[in-house]
Amino acid sequence: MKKVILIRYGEISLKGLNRRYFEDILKKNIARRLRPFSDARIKKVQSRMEIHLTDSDECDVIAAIKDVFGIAYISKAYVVESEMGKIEQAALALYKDGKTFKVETRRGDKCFHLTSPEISRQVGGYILKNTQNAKVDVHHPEILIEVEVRKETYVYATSIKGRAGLPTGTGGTSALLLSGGIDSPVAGYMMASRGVELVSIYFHSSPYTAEEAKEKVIELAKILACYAPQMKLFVVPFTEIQESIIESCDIEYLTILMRRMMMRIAQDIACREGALSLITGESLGQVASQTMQSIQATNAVADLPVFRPLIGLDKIMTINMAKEIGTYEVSIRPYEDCCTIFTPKHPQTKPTIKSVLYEEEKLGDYQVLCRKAAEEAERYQF
Amino acid sequence: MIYFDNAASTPVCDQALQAVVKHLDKNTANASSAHTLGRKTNKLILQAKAAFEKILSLSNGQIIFTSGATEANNIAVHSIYSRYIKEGRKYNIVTLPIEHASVYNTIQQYFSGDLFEIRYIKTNPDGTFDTDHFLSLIDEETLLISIGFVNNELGSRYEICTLACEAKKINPDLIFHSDMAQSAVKIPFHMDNSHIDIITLSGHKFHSPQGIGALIAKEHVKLSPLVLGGDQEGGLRAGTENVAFIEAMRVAAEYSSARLREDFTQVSQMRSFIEKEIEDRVADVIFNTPQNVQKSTPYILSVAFEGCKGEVLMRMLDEAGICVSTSSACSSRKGVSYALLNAGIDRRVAEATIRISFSRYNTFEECSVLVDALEKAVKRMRRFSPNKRISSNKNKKVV
Repeated sequence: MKKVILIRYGEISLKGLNRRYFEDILKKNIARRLRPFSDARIKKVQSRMEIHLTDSDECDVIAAIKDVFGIAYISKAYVVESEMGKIEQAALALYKDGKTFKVETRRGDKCFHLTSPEISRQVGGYILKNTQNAKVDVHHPEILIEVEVRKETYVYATSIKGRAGLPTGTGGTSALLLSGGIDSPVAGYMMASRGVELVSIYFHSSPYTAEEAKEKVIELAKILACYAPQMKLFVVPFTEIQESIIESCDIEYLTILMRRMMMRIAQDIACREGALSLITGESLGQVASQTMQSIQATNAVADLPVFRPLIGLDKIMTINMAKEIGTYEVSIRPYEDCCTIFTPKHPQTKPTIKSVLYEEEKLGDYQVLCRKAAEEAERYQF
Repeated sequence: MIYFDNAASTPVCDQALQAVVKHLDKNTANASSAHTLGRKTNKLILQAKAAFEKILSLSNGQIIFTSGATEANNIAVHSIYSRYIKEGRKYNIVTLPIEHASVYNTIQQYFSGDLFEIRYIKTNPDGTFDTDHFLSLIDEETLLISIGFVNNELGSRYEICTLACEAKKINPDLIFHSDMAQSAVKIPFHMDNSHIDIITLSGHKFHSPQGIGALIAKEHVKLSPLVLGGDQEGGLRAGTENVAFIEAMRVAAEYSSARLREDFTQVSQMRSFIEKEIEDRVADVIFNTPQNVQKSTPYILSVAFEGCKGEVLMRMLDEAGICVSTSSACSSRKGVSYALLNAGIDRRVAEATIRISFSRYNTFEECSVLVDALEKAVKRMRRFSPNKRISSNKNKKVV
């Protein structure tokens, strides 16, 4: 009996002629995570991947790949010849005496001489015969033994749920406007789960914002990079632009004008990095800059499509997702970012494009400031 | 860098540094070892204790060297608690709500149960308080009074010996504890002449290395160990003594003590200079530190600038190569200082506050650089603040 780590896909299985493209990228992404395990060998087999190990610990390997997008399930499996005797022995080896169990079979090889229910019954009977206290429970089994009959047969008992989605690198590159808050890391995660490679952009307003605020964002980026490998972070010096707006424009328009400048700078960096879109963590109506009128005003400066995956999500849902992906605890650290430290008492919530343009004109040649900020951005690679 | 954060930690003086190097270079023995070198090392500890007895005018006291004032305060509070909790009687503790976290939090931690009542002295926004009100809180059930000689954030200084004397007239059995981290060898104090029972100090506040301090108690005080193990420090603090730093602290204390008045005068002049310059050059300033020099230490100046955020000013000064702080270093990463708020200072004033703290190593030239940078920073902050002004305060000085 060979032991392997079996990887099953989710959405990739639904792909047609281009499935191979997705599989190859997934294999490459898994291989990258397996670099520390020199004995690990990945083999593609009929909508599955097997990882063969000689020395490495299976649990360490599973931990290394569990966050790779595109994987639906990971299982420690036995691979045996498709013969009932061998299948039964593998199933028995996975069973722990005293527990309730159930056997489920998928028969990929339709030439196999037994049907799926027959295989399940026979394997179950074998376990009952060869153990003292085994008991079948088809509704809530403590151990679910799964049998997949193909050219060879996989038998496994524990499946770890992967993050599903599409493999990173299959969906193009996008620039994420990453603040220190709860929302933007979640937005980045959601887009990464669609196979998107991320370039994150953070706007830093030293000395108004603390160094800790920047360190917090770097830490958030590190967490995001676990899901979006090879991610870059650009820390843009934003102080000069904010001071110019405060000095020249109606303070009610501060946030909206800042957001427009951020979009311009993000777009500049995105184009340089080959990104085809922008991502923000905006959720409709959450704050003044996220009303429909405000979003219209910020959107107007972007030529690239702007993805807002949280736009219709309830805050509680976003918080739950942030907790699940591990960014929440970092996001709630109490350091103000460039938006919160400069919040006017009464921000404009329903700006018109005309009024925004009127205020923006007071800034003079803001394009120079934006270009300078984009050029002076610090770059981090994760 | 120009350093005006001496209430958080002071630079190590040459004398202390040399004492550390000399000790570590020549002496590797454990002070508890019975051989000649061990006994010689132990003698250094005894010499240091004798030196502190002399500096503090203390005869027949107990001196325990600790890792700093926080540990010393913890031992002090723990000792009182462990002795009296067994009695099962109701007691009260009288303290200031603006004490350093090592006193404030420790007292809350130990004495929050039903058997004890913590009575907080109501303070004015500058940290001062009414003596009659203080005395009215004391009764025969008062177990412990804990008042620092100098408040670490506001710089308010208390007539600690008078307070202890008056308190003991009401209840001679109470224990009077004083955290002297900010005042030791900076402001004269004679322990024998006072009714204060326990004091604590921290070496790095007077130019010895960080990581050494002391708890000093009169003979009658029964102390209990927090750290158990060997019988070092008479069984009151287990663990090999940090002799190199004890030596350094002794040397630093002797040196500071010898030039106490000289330093006090120099620092007083620097603080006055900065206060005057700020008053003359910056509008809408609120001095949190008591303006009566008898009621404050010259080593600390707490000041708020309307329309500014203290933490932003601190960072602007940091960019200009000047270190100040917004509050106690032990709570400066937790937002607005609880001590300033507990003193009754308006939250927005507390948020607009910075603490400038001095040592003898500061110069008038540095003071000028600080004021220039501060003036520039305040102007910039006010110019670019989206919500300009904050509410008025009683202490406000508009120039």
